Amino acid sequence: MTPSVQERVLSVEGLEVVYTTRSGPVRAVRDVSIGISPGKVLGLVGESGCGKSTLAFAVMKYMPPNAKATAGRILFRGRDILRMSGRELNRLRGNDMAMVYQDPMASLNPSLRIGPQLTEVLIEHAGSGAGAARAACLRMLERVRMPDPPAIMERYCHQLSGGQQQRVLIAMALLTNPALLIMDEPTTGLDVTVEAEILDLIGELKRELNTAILFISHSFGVISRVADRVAVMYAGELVEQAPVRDIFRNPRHPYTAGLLGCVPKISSAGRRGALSPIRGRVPALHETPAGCAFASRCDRARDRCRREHPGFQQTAEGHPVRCYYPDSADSPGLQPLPATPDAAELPSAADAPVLQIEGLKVYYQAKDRGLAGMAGRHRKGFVKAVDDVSLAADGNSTLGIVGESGCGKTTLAKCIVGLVPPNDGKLGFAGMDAARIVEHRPVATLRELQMIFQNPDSTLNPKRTAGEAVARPLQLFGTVPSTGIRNEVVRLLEAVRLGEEYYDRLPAQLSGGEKQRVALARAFAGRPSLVLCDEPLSALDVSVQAAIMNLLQEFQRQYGTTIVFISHDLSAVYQLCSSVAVMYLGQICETGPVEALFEPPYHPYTEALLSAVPIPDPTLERNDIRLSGTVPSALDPPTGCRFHTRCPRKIGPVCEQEAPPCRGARDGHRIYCHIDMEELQTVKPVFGSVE
Amino acid sequence: MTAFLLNRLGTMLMTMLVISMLVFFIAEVVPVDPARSALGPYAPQEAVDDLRDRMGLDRPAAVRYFDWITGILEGDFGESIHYQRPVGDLVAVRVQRSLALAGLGFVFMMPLGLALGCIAGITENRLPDRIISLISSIFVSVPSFASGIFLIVIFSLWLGWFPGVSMPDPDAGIFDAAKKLILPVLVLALDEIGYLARMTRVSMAEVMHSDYIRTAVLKGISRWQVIWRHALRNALIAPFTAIMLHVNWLIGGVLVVEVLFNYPGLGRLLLDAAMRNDITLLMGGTLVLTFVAVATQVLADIGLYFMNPRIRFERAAR
Repeated sequence: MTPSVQERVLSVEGLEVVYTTRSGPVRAVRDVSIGISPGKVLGLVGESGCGKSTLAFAVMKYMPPNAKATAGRILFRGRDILRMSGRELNRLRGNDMAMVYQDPMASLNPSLRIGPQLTEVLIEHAGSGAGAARAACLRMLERVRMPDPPAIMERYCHQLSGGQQQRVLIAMALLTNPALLIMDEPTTGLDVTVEAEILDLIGELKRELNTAILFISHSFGVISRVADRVAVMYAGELVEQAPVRDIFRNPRHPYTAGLLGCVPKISSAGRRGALSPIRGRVPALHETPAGCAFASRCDRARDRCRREHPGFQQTAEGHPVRCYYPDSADSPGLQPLPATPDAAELPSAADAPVLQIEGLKVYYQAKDRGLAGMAGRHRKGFVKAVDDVSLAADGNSTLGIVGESGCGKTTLAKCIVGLVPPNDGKLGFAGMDAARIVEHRPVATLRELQMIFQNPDSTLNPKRTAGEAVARPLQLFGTVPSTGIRNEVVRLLEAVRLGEEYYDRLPAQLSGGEKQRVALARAFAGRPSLVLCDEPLSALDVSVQAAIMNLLQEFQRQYGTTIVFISHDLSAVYQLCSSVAVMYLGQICETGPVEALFEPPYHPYTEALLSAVPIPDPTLERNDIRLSGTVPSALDPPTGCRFHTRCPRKIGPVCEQEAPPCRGARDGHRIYCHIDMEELQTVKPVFGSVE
Repeated sequence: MTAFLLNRLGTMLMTMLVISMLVFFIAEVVPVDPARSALGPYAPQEAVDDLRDRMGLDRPAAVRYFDWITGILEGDFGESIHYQRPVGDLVAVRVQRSLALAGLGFVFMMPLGLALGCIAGITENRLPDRIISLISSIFVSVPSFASGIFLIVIFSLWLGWFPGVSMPDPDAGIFDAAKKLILPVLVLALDEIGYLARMTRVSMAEVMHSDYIRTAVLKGISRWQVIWRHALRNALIAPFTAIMLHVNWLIGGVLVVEVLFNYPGLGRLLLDAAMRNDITLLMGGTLVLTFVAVATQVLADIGLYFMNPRIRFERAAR
């Protein structure tokens, strides 16, 4: 049975939140009912713009002045938050209910030390004296496994790493042992390794403190790791709610199934297939459609779906679904790509490598801005962003580059496109020497080498229409005769599923996914032989990510383009790439074909990365390997093997003293490690099910 | 810390050196013969030549610059051609008066501008904000010579509360002196208050929308504590920088006000010197004025260094 209202810490009943905007009222949250019991985690998933955060902040009764809860109740231990006075709310907030936010850096006061920011919670709510509050805060920092709490209390937030900032916020939220904890995308923007640690911590705290947690995330992998129950939100409504296993094993709503189909899975056998993105986008909520909000994107929609608004159907015990036809739902999963007839004409991967890098080094000088620095003395040394990297990417293949932030992947990309000059080493591109900056490269090289950036919002010129942006490289490189440019642009826009009507739209009129499609069309317009993608997916929703990945694969099949795909998302890398290089502190620690990389033998760092990847499968058992500490400074990297300070498999002083030897395995698989191959071979696979 | 201070002071010295060269060489290219302007148009040419000789004007420019600058470092700014008195003495008296005026204006505008701006920023788009924004727009858009005339007409000619001229009288009591200064200080401060209030409003409103203010509110502390502990300091960083950059503006405003109220400050002195072709006085006065301007920038930088920990630690980390 579902627990009664009294047992629940939080119970939201039929909540509606309306924003008053210039273009009319927007019903951002409609008829939402959820409940959480002590010690349980309710995961809330959905694309951006579905009302997840509005719901979360409404629970704290923190709404912008133009938002109002127009219907429903929010019961916290049986008392309606919406009817509370400011004074009553202040007694609850930070005391009985607390929140952890998405962007930890922005959520901490930049001009106050961490200490007072923490202690004020206790001084306010528990009436503690300064000394007692400080002692309690130190204990709590210890509890969230912060190194050296007394030192942390004295720091400002910009002196902490992202993971440490998030721990401070979690500690802050837990100081008063709240009954309800709301976490709004707490691991978005953190490295996988840090994310894994934070998720472990949340799991631990849930068990120990019996806190009820509302956990919001757009990532199914993260949700599957922490949640007990999952609620799926779409266009301001809940569409499905079920225990975590049922959601993943048996998604009933087509939206849930669709979202799951967008996520690349490392364990799935059909790696080469295309993902199945959900078409269209979340509707603007100015007018709510008469029927089901998802009907316009749903393959199963029939006339009734467009006419009548579906209510909840109980499909199983505790598994309500807002759909008329919940039973025909089965995850579309991966679909095989249609065979392309001209595939045979393309150069095969066995041809000479398109991109060849040997012993590449990119050093930045650490600047000292003092007078002494101006006078040229007091050099502080070099940041070895890329230090002796050798790589090759074959024609018509995709090379993935992975690693934590600060490992040098972006610098490597910048060096390849010529934005920073290399200090040493060879950079060969299509048989040419490309070790010079972009201004000095011949036009032919520029045409052959294009880049797609992480943030589509700031990549496109806001004053140029989508059509102009795509036409530019066509004019510049003379890919097609000038009379045919417009047709070619339309063809490219259609290829990225935008169509001619987007020709005259400005970037401000496009969604993030649409902007990235334009960026994709622009990059491929000159039919380059190499396209560099620097985290092209990380700013996008899962459904859009899947579409972009499919487009990349399509373009590659069509033009035989080589793609270098830089990402921290190992699932996406697994889905897209034919070979992978793992970077740590400016060096390659493992490289090889993608199949070889995702199973033993692993480099210990790769193993740790893989075991940190959130996999959308709540039943998955993994031996979790966690890295301690943060990536050391590239200004003064550790001697010997650079990974030795964090390596869980360190064998002895040799790791600290000597650079690791290259150990080759089959198919060009190389591991740089002191542990010998036979021993690495015996490591248990991270994903048991990988064939 | 000391490295930072040394760095700032070093930069300041360099700036002053460059400015002194500029001042000297601009005076050099102006087609004015100091000796001729000292003696007047009817003096015989021999007397002028004789004076040129005594003033050393026929030596190369570099030598004269070097003489001028070493003199200044020893406190000797040369002699005013018109007044026939040391420039240093003339400027010192006037600088004090101008600084008094500017200082009073500053003291008047700082708290008012910041407070009005903070109130407006906190009550963004509500009634207090609307009123303050309207008033500050009016203050900013009326130039000080116009507002000066309005105030003189209203308070001096019509109501007769304050005098319209501010010639200081050495025998007057404090109350009397204050009465004379009220109108000029008000004129000086008005558009600065408007500017500062607008600046602070934007900064405060932005801070109030920030994520860390949300964190503070959701800690359950009172609104007053949120503003006092979390918002104020962050909101004041931007206007503080702006005020300090605006001190130069204030110095320019002083000049207008001095002329308007016939107040014998540095601004009037420089204006007179320019009209009388008194090159030595003009050079000395300009140099002192720029020194005041540059010094306030250094003070601003140092103040900012203590206010914003991000600057402080970025430097320490290097």
